[in-house]
Amino acid sequence: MFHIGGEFGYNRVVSDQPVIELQSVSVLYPNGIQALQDADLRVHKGEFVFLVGPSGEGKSTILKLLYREVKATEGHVLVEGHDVGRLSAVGVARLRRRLGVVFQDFRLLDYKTVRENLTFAMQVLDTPPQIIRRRVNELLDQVGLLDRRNDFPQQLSGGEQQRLCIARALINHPPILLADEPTGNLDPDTSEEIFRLLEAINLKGTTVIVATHDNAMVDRMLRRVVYMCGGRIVGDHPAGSYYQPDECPYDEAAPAASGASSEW
Amino acid sequence: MFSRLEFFITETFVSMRRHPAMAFAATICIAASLFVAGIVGLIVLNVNYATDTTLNRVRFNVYFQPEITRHEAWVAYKRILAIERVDEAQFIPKEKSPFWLKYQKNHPDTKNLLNRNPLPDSVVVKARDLEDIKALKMGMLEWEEVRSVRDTPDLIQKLINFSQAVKQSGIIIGIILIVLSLVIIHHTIELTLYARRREMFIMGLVGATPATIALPFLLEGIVYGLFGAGVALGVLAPLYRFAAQKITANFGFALLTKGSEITHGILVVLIAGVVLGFIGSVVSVLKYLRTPKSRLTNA
Ligand SMILES: Nc1ncnc2c1ncn2[C@@H]1O[C@H](COP(=O)(O)OP(=O)(O)O)[C@@H](O)[C@H]1O
Ligand SMILES: [Mg+2]
Repeated sequence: MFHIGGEFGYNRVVSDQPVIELQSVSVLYPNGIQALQDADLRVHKGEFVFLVGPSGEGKSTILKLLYREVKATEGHVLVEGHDVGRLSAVGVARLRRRLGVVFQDFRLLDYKTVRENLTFAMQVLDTPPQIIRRRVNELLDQVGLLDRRNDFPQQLSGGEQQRLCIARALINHPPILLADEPTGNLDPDTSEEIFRLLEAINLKGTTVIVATHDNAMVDRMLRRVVYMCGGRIVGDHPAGSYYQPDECPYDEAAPAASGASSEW
Repeated sequence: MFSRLEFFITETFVSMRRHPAMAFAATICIAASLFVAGIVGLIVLNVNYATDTTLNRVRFNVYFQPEITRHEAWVAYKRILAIERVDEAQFIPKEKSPFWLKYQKNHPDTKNLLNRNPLPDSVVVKARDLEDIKALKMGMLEWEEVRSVRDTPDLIQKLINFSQAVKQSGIIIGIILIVLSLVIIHHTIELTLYARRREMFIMGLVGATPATIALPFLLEGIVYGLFGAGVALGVLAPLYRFAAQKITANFGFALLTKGSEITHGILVVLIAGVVLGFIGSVVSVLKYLRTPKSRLTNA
């Protein structure tokens, strides 16, 4: 056990057993793009980790590896000790019940209300109706959307849509939350609000990994920062220190300029 | 379990409401296929019914050469009996021939008019199947003991030909329509899958199993099949009742209007609809689940 310090006064205990581990992982997409090269990463239970770096450098690819949207071409990806590359289709389904995922573009169902969007994510897992009702209300309260529960996503602001997306990711109590550019479409004030929400979720014990290129926010959060460029992990700053962007020695090797990256 | 089924059924109908045109096309296509299949089936059923009941004479007469002896005729009769496709055969000695009996009855006082019975011995043959009659007759005409066979009434032969033609074209039309239905259902489900890729993505993301993800799409195919069958039966039933009335009124010829054949027919149409819908959607869903996950990325 060891402690992670924070300027805002949280001293938190995290387990030394990694919940997420990348062992020399490479990803080569079928179109020939080497999105990730020889990446090693260990994330412990209860940690809050930023994955930062310019666009198109492999941040999303790491998250996709974790929820098995893509498979490593080399190396091993372990989530809670399981090699996700070896999972069957049902195994992948089980893995995903342990992970909540949040997206830049929210991916809400716009013909369903706020409440129905959450209900849907529980119904597909065959949750009994009484439990669904209780859990949905609890989460709506937690993300501050209880009075918007009968509105449709189009009636919500960007920040509210992202809070709904976060609520959906958390609905089935996953111990790990992955967020891919959660504030990419939001203004700075709203971004701050979302980051504080993610922080509050982390404080309740959920391991959180956030891919972002919002350096200003990352700077203010004083959390662990993993810096990526050219498909490699080039820096790992422990929590509590101010984040200084690293030099990117692989810039020429980076396969695509920021504009060409395939965003979510 | 019930709440789950209810959820999937609701999802299925929500999905269909979101692309009503395709849902309509799929339903109509299955309905058209089953409608044509239904008409073919009804014609075949009625021809069988007619030939089996009102015209249940799968019989014909074989007349021997007048010169052969009674013994030779009897041996030939035994040969007829031994034929596989012959159901029954009855030997009619010439003195028992209905014509001779009738002649004697009509001319009781002129016994000497014909001092000798000019008729040959004959055999009444009952074939196992209407369709065997022609071949049986042709075969026996080759025998040297046989002088002639009496033709079956024209109507029966015409019905047999008609029934065969209907069956054959029915099979061909049926196959074409089944293929067409499958293609259209497949296409509809593909569109559904495309329209619902975000739902599938979310279901997969929160940890639903592939079977769970596939279920609403299979249900959707089955619903199209059932709706199609319903429409086909709904159009077919009054049409048939009307046709049956007209035919009976104009030709004095009863059509099959109730009984187990009709009940079976209705069941077959419903089951065929479900099977068509199921197969059509299974093909698309399996194809979709096997495609690389990257296709789901832009959900
Ligand atoms: N499904 C894919 N197929 C092919 N190339 C991809 C795919 N996804 C991402 N890439 C490429 O891999 C590189 C890394 O992408 P990504 O992990 O999305 O970067 P980031 O999230 O850091 O912007 C980019 O060059 C991108 O174009
Ligand atoms: Mg990205």
